[in-house]
Amino acid sequence: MDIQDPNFWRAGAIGTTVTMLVVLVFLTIDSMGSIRAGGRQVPNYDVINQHIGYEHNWNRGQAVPVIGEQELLFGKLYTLEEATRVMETGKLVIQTRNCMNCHTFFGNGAYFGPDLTKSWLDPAWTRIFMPMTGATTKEEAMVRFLMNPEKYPTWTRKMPNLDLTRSDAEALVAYLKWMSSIDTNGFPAKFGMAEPQ
Amino acid sequence: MTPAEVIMTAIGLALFVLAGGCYGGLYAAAMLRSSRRLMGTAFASYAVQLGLTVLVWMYSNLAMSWKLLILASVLGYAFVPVVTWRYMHILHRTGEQTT
Amino acid sequence: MYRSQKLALRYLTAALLLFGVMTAAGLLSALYYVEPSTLYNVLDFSVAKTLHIDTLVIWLLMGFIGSVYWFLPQELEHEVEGIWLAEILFFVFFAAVLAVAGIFIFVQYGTTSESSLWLINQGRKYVEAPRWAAIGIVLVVLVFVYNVTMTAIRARRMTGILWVLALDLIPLTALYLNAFSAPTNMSEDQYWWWWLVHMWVEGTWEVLIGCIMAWALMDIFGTSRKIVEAWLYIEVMLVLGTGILGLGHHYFWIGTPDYWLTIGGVFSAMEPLPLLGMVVHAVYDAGTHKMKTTNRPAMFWLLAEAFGNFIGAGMFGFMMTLPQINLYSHGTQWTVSHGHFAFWGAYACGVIAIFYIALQKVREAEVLESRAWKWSMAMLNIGMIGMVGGLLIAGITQAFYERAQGGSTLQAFVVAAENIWFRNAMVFRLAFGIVFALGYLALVYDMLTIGKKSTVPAGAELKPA
Repeated sequence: MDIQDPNFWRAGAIGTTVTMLVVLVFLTIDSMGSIRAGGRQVPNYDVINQHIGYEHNWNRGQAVPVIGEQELLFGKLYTLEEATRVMETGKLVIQTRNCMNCHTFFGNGAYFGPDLTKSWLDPAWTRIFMPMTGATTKEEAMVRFLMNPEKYPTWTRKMPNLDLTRSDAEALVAYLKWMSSIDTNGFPAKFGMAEPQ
Repeated sequence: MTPAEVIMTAIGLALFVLAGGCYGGLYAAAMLRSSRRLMGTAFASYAVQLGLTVLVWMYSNLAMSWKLLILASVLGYAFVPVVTWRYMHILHRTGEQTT
Repeated sequence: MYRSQKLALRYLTAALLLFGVMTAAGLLSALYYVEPSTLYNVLDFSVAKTLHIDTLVIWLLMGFIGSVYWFLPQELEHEVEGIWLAEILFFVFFAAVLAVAGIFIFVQYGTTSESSLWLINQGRKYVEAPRWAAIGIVLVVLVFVYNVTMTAIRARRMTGILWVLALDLIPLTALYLNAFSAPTNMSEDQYWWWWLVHMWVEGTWEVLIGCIMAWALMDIFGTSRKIVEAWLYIEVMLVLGTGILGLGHHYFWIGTPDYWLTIGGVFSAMEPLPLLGMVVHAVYDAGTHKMKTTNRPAMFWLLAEAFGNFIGAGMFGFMMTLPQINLYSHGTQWTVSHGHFAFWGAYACGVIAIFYIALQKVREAEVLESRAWKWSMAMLNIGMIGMVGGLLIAGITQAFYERAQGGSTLQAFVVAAENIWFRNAMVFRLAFGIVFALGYLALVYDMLTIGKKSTVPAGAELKPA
């Protein structure tokens, strides 16, 4: 072993890299079991038919999503197949409208708009947007806002109009409802649990 | 952690790394110039880093596992500059002889 | 001069231009925070931000590619094979960049259909470029890989640096293929997207710039090959040894198992240590050569790279990486602060050093010296430090009021963003952004004039410091 010989370090570099990659591959295989729709931490898409809450779990010491009783979205019961198709549209809306360059999902993206991880659970929809849009349900208020954001400004940073059709907006709302059901290890902390300021 | 604890701990950790960086940079500069004064400042920086380790250990609400990790890394900070310097020195001495 | 080096100059010039576009788009993005109604419904924040980060990726990539085309024939003493193809693709690449920028600015977004992803915008951060352009990027990189490997084969010579480079280009290209993917499941999307983003920025790019820096050290200090190769291998070992599983710090909150909290935390805590080694290395190299170099701008930019990388990636990274803190700091301006400083330290400073190395040869200057480089270096670095300082204060304000106290709702978000600390910090950031932009202009001026005899100021210190 001669530490002055570059070959010694070459072997070290190759060995370390290969070891780390092998570990990463195993962890990835295991992680896929958690993050596929219907996996350990990510519910299947038809979870949008149920009530979703977010509560502090004392055993885990963090907030976790709680899937409750049936709670229809837009008054409709989605089959898994229908829900999957809606999610495909919802995700396509998110990508084609470049949402991630103003907002964050799981805290990743841009920071000009609020994080959307648990947006479905945001009390602002019922407290502010339902009265403002005259809608009788939260999902309807979200759709009206998304289709005409400039009509319902709440702050100096306003969302632009991104030409969403009604079905685009509904798919997006469904997507946000599904996302809020994902177990994100407690992120964001205390969402919607703090006292209104 | 309370909001204030989060911020104070983060600032503590930033200063921790910064102190480690000062130690490394000053250590190298001291060796280069064979300056005892510079070496004194280098060790003072490391003492600051140790002090910050103690502060974080005592006053932050980080989990014990993270505190142990910080303790382990403060040892790493002690050795990296010394080992790197010696290695560079050996390498340059022999490397420049052969080329 | 080899044909490949002429191509390199084109790439480096394009990189310098796009650096300017990035700076302008960044200034505009900063302005929205101070004056939110700016260009509302005309050119919204997302467009400026997309331009800012995409030109960042492209100018650095062009800088890397240009650097390799510069050093490769020098390394092998052989003209680059298939250089004509690379020359054609440079124009294709540049035209495609302009076309994509035009589409982002004037078309912005399409309807909800696959075709929008193919033609307009893919809406995934850093890889927004529509798929037709992404195909172009793959082509450029493939030709680049072909150039590097074929030249080595024809020259019947393979150095250690070239081995590292050639092996590094395989994952670099393969990872980019994720840019074509659009999974429905956001957790899966981000899982693989981080493979691309993290493994580029904290893996393959680090190795690539390591190779370029190895050549640069041989060039400006005349360091021996044995030394730089041993150092390169150590660097690869440490960077990939900590960086590959350092990926874990992006897997805290995306629906992945909680063991990532431990893995990400541990490996991220180790990440500053190799950077500390690089600081010692930089001081050693600069010192043992008693700062005797004929290219002081390049040397000081290389030093800035070592220190900037340690502070930007090491210090700013570690302060927010432990999960207990990251829970609150993640996804705030704090991240932006770290991102700016880390990209600047790890990559931008290095590429600027290469600009100067190439310029010395182009201008045939025995000693490359001017006044402007000092001004530009000072303004760029002061501007950057001011910006990241402002962003850090804004981020801490957000972590405190929005995340830890307010619970991250819309209302909490607004409360933090209306806080006087946040608002002032964003004005501060914009002001220092302007300083940075002035530094950029000084850099361009210097690039145009340095080394031309008439511009070397009389009495300028031509002797080594």
